[in-house]
Amino acid sequence: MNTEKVIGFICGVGVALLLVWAVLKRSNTDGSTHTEYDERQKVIRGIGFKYGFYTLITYLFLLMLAEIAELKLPVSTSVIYFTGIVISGLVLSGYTIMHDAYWGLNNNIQFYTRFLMSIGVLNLIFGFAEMFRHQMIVGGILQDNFINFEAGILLAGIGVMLLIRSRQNRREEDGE
Amino acid sequence: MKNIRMKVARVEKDFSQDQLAKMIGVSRQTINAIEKGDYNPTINLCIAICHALGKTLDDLFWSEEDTLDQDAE
Repeated sequence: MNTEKVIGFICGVGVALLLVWAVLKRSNTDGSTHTEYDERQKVIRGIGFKYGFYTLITYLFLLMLAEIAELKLPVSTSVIYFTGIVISGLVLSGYTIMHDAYWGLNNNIQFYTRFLMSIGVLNLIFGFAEMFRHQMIVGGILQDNFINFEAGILLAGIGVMLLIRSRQNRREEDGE
Repeated sequence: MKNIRMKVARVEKDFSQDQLAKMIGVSRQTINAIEKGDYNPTINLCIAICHALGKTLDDLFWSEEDTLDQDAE
């Protein structure tokens, strides 16, 4: 990686961190950047992180096997690693969503949902744009810009699970 | 095991799960899980629930079976 790319990456991460801080400030109803969970949610989140961790370990183990077998994957290195993050992130989110431990007690759910949806849609748009420009696969190798597509899929997956769970919860509330 | 006594005490007070949850600072789903017997709350949460519903720990969380087991010993 050349120096410009490294500087660009560091600046990007810096801007992203600032954005995350600003979003966190806005995404909690009490203005705090810390999300509060009750005792049951904390337990569930712990189990969710455990499953996410096991998923990532399994994924990395499979990658290691592929490396030992000298299997050349037609995918760029960053996509390979980001896929691991997406899969384990989906496991963690899925588990916490299905056990009602995804939203904290002080989360501004409306703002959060709108924000995640816009980020997801933006990533999917970028992903499709690259696909239509035929920049996604170059020389038979899936390029770094597939990451946008993956991020969009991750957020879309989270969105679908949240929708399913909120429908189930509404039915549960009606029968309360 | 379902906690029917807690549900009855809540309904007697005319609280919804959501109202009780907000009073004691937990999520509605946590109250639902306790009533359905899917989650065993810590003693601190049990006490908070008892305060909110005006009941004692024995009223809501002590089962008849526990008493019978003690008597048998």
